[in-house]
Amino acid sequence: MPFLILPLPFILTGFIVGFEFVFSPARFEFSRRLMVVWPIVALAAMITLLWLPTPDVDLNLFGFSALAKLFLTLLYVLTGVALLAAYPLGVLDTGRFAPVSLAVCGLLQAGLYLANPFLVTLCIVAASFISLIAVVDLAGTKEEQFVKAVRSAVRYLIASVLFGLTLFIALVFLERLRLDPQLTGVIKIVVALLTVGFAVRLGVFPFNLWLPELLEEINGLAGFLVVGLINAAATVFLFDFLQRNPALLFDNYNQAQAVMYLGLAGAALAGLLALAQNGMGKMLAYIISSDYGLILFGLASPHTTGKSGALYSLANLLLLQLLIFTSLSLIYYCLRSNSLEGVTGLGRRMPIAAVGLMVGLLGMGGVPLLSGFAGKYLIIQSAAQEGIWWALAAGVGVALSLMAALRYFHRHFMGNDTPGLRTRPEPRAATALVLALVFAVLLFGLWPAPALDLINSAIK
Amino acid sequence: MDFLTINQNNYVVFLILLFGSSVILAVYKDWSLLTPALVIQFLTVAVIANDLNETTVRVMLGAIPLAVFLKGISGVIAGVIFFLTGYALIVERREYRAEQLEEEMNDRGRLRRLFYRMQTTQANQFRYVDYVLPIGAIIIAAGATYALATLVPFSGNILGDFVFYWLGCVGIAILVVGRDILKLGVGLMVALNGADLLYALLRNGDSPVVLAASAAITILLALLVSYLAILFYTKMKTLNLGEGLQRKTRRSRA
Repeated sequence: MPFLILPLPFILTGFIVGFEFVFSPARFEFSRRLMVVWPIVALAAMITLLWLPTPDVDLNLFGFSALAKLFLTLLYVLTGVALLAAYPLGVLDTGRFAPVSLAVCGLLQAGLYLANPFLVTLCIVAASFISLIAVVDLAGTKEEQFVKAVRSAVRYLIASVLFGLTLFIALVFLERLRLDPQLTGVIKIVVALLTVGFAVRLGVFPFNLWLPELLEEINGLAGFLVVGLINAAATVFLFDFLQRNPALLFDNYNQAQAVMYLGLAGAALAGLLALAQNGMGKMLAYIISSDYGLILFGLASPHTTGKSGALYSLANLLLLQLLIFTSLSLIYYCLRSNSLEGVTGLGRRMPIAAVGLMVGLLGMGGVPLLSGFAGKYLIIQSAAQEGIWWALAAGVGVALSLMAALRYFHRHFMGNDTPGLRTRPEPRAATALVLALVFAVLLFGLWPAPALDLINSAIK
Repeated sequence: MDFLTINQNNYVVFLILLFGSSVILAVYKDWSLLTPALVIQFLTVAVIANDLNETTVRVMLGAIPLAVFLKGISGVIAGVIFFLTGYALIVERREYRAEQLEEEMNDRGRLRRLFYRMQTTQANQFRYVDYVLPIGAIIIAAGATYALATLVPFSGNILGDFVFYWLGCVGIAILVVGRDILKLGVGLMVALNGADLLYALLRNGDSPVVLAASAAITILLALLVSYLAILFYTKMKTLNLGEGLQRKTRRSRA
């Protein structure tokens, strides 16, 4: 029974692809509906299988860690919500988003199930490759947008391969170190390669060159696959891996300090650069980059508050990203895929999408009463334990990101209505989902203790 | 004759094959040259990796080590995928030209024909810069390989160090100077090849699952590059990412 969880998503992906081939979702309404139903049923089955009691398995060969179980459940729930949102917004018309999402979930799950880090790396790289199909597929019909989307997809492809290569090389050196523990100098190389690899994958500044254009040009829900699902699974893998190899970072303050510097400097500089961006996607990319910088800092910090803060921030980042990307997809749907360039006063035309985007951006800025607050607070607390300058740098990163987000929101959603702009009304199903996500953000903001307890117990 | 081991008589042949295939991959744009060069490079690296692997217990597939078989077969499949992609692009180009001819026959495309001729002349023009840049990149890669292999040796085997650094440097060089999707894909494959070699060099013992997964990733990458290339070419009639954008900008200005 436990092994069924591995092939299940791939069997269903194959089935959905075959079904879509026979009954094109662009032509048949029932096919579009089934594109939502089947993956959600599969995800529900995967969650059930995930939590079923399993016979004693050797965790050195395979098996989910407590943290992996927790995060996979969250990933599946949020992917289900993303699929539900995709239906009214027309994202499922091409028929590839649903099978790609399911395949990505399957690969990430396989990655977190296998203990062999080489295989985990290959699974994450394969998930990145598959997600690229959604990136290109949802690029839109306009030529300029298509060219830019393909260009950014190629950059993402290069970044994914670089992530795989650096990690693969780091793991090979780690094997060498295990064989010959005298080679202590190799630890530095392994940590450097691991850090660079994960910084490229997570888009931590200055390794985020692939991210801004990608988020500027692609559909929001495809963006959720790339910077939400895969990055979250990669971070969980990193944490589990570092727990299994404490000599690399957790018990090695000198190495950890270098990673903390990178994370914090990346967060502050990405926040600063977010202020200078001229596109919604680019600004979002730098804000997300800043958040992942803080998460990297928290993971490397020697304090428990930093680690639990980083993982709580990661879970919230997923939720907030889904809210922001769904709201953005809703906005572009209402704008008939036109650019936001020069458009003002959208708050009156799309009030629910504006509320969703506002709450999402404020949540990412760590505003109190919203779900992003607790994680940011813990990370800044952990920075303060290192010294006042560390805390100030972390605070500056958060504040700059928030300023950039508010500035951009004000530009497009407040002010006078753009004359002559033709928009569609907001679809009810999508607005209901946005409101449900807003409610979740408020709920976790007001009552973060249960989620934090779950994460803390999983870390132990 | 044993082709799976390197000795004093044949190691120069393997080095020439490796060097020659890398130069072709970096310098030429013609897919009919690129695909055989890619396959040759994969097979050469498979043999070198096999020879450098000092693992006592090897996983064998009959007389051939599993690592060599998987590396070779993934290289051949990737080569076939690129070959078919190139062929599909040629068919697509022919159809596009047939469409244009039809337009001309209907006397609708005089201006378009003029622009097309100007564009084709410009594109087919022999430009030194097209070759100078990749050759320069290869020379820099060779220098970097020599410097790294002598200053930062890590495996205790000069051939292993040299080949790993060479593949890494050439892969990066191709990525830096490459403008079209197929070329960038080739650069990624070369770099991936280097990582596989490192696995063979430093890892103690073959893991069949890792080797198979690595081969699957190579094939998946080739498929993805092919998918992107065909998709882009079908819509933009070029593989050059920069050109596609410029063409669109020119059109929108007009």
